[in-house]
Amino acid sequence: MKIPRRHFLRGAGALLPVPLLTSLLPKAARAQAAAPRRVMFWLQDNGNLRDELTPTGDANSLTLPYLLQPLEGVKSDLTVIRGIDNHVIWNHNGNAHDIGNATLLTGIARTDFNAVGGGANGGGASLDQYLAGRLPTAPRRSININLPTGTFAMSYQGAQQATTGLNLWSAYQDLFGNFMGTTDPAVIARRRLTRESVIDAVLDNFRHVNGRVSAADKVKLDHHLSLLRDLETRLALEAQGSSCAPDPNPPTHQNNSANTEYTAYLYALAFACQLSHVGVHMVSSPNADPVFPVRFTGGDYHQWIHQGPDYGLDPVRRREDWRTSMRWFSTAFNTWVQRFKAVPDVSGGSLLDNTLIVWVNVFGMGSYHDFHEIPVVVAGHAGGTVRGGRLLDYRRARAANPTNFGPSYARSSFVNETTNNLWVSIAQAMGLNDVTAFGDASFCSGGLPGFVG
Amino acid sequence: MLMRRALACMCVLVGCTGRIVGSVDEPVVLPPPVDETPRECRPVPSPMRALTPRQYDEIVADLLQDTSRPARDLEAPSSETRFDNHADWVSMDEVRLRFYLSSAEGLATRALTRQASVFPCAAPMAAQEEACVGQIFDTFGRRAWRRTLTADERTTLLGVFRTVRALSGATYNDALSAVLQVVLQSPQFLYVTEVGTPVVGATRPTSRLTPLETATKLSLYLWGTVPDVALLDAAEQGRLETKQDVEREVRRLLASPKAREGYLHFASQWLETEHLADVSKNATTFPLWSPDVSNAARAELETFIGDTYAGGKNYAALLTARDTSVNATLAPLYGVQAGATSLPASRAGVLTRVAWLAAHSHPEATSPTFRGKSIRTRMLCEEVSPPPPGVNVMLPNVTGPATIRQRLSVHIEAGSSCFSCHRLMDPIGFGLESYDGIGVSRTTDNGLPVDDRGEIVGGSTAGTFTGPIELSQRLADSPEANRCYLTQAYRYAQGRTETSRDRCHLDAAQRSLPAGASLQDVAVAITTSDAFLTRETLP
Repeated sequence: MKIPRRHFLRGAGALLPVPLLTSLLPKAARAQAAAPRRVMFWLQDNGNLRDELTPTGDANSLTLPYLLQPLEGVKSDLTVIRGIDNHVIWNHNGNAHDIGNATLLTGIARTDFNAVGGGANGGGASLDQYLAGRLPTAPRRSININLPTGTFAMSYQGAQQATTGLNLWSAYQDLFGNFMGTTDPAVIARRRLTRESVIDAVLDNFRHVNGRVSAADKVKLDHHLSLLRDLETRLALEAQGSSCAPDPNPPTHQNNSANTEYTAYLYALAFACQLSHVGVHMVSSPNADPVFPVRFTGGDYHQWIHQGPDYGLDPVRRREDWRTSMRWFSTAFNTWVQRFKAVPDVSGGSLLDNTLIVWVNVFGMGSYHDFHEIPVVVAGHAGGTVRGGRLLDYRRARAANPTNFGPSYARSSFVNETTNNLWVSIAQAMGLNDVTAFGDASFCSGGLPGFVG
Repeated sequence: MLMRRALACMCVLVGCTGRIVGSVDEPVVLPPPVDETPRECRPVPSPMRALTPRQYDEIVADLLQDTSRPARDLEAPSSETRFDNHADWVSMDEVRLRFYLSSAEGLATRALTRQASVFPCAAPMAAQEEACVGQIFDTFGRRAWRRTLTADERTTLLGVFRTVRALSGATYNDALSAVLQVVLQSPQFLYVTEVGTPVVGATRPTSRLTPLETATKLSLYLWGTVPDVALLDAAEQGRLETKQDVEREVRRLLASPKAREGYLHFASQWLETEHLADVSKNATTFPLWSPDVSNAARAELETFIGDTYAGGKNYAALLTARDTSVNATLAPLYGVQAGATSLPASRAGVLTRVAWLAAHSHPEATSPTFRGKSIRTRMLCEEVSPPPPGVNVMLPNVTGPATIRQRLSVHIEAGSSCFSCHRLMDPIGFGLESYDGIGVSRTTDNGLPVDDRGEIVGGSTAGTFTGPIELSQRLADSPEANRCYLTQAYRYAQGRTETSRDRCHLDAAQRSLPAGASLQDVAVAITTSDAFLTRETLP
């Protein structure tokens, strides 16, 4: 059946009909006793208007503020968290964006952030990649779309080993491109056996590379080798019949920067088909013009943030522009939550029931590079371990008075819960109850009280 | 990245205590005088490198006539001291691995459709199949792996061919495809290692790169692709042994159009213009700007740089010459006629070109800080630390008409804690204020007269100047800037940042260059230096 393109790429709020998505799922995957848990990291950069993100009223029946109101229809699926600081960055003298991006998901600070123009700075594995290695093996370790690179990298396999992100079009090709062209089982079998032979030979060729490289370089070659062996395992899994039919109308190469809906759809489809259990996506990439349909001056989002919410000769208008722009993120997040909620999962219930979508920011307040009180919203229930419909407020004291406009990096200024403990909670909610610390253990004291259960 | 451009502009009130090289309290260490007695330099490291996405695309276009640029969406990071080919960026992950896998499948499939023109033999009879595959090892394989394959390697590849050939329903093409895929994913293809041969009698453990390693290093540096057959033959037939041999081949490579393209890839990173297409301008402030203008500006800058390089001209020409090639789209921004081949006297070299100026500005205004930072770091090779913790990085608010120079004055008031860093940047950028945020000449900023007096603080190029022409000439004549150019080219040639050991080699290379040496002479000096041709022996 030829689906008109507009059914897939309509504006905000319009979703694919659910039966259609179901028909794309592999038959084998549909009848399964227990669905695996998935986790999605939904990354925003340059901060938010954090003072307007706290629900009021009863903590167990959220009254959403203006900036979160687009999520009204899914608030029973939300766990809003306040009072999370990125403690590990304290005392670090370097580019705040390098520091923030390298530490958010890793929970580890490198000691040489002073290096000007350095390489990727992550001090260890980020939570997404740690979970990818511990959750059940899937054809893909993780699905990474639009991630920052170089010194701004956020997702790490290990210290200084950043993971690559693809754009939407390339990600579609990577996930579903191979399904184009044939359903002939003989051809598919031959292709699979050919791949196995190819990879075996590539592995063999590592013998022939002159073994005399430095110890540091040998680590890189060995890492490549282990990834190849890992790939063999995952390709074999893929060949076992999770042949998820792709959307017959893929995204175009040119217009992929603005497709919030399609991105959500792609992740949901990939999760439902169990191509992976982990996803990472940066919504506001510093690389490209953000996809906001609202006003901010000029096209340089980063400079606009640094002007702050009361800038210019019409500060009232500027503040309204900020509120409208930041509210857009909630609208986008709602698109994702609704999509995941609409997708049936293999054991009955929805994909959202078995997933956590973690919306987190690099900064609390981007205008002055402040890492206190980073806003966090978690959607989903991770197979019933996360209740939803609640505010968890871990604020112990107010952050540095915003009117000073100067961030504090003093150790004593970080008084709230740590990002490390947040990640411990996420790991535990994903079923890894042996995790009691993540990243730099000196910033850990266990999971966030009350998060799980 | 966009963010990096804007970062330097944020610093108002609290202490700026970053580590400064080249402040008035810590003078820049100058290169030694030219007549210092040469001394033997210590051997330098040579870390493993990997093909960059761009090199990957160039090579498959070269070897398989495939111009689809499969790696174009793979990001290649670069930074102030690390070009895209830097060893520090070498890191594999699942996404890249799968990219190489699916890319190889696609490349092989497409190559087979034109195997008659890509390979020395095609569609052989059954009895000739393996002989044909053998020929492909000798041609495609040899160029992809930059050397003649060993017997062991041929055995491995032939094994793949036979295994796949024997699969039910498999054809010669299927089996050859598998061989091509293996070649394109093997470490011999993806990684560049330099082990060398120990030099007998060296004072310190030193290894000379083998001729084949030298060939690869030369070709990747100058052309951004694998060695051609002539260079491989020279290496394998004993004609790439001496420095004279190397210089001969280097001059041959430099004479090719590929050298120009390779140079532009270096220059667009060095001058931070490679992401110009991502730079947005406010349409109300700059109605003249558009994607077409942006592309035309980039093309104009690259034509100028490419012509300067290929024409055997020098660093001074790059900074001061007014040669151009301006089309109708770009002409209004320069105030010249379409087809002009020379810019007006208000312009000079790269720092006065629309592409550079627009790339180093904000969406609605110029950025003296960003322009000054770029010149300080990219053209004087000095570090400027980012704003330290506790610094207010919000932009000062506007309260009424003011020039950007006036608004930035808080950065460099004596006693302000931004002073020690920002005095290295802003006063340089002020000298370019007679060009607006898209590089168009102007005499007013926000209705007030432009003041383009500037100053370079610290180092041997220190001093005041007025306007962009004097600034450009000052840099063109500066030993420090010329040395920095050598250093940048050296970093790109070596695929790493210089260490303390490299200074001796850079000094020697500098001494070997005559006054007014061309940009190509600089490439020759680098490629014939011990630092390029030898390495510290691996333990």
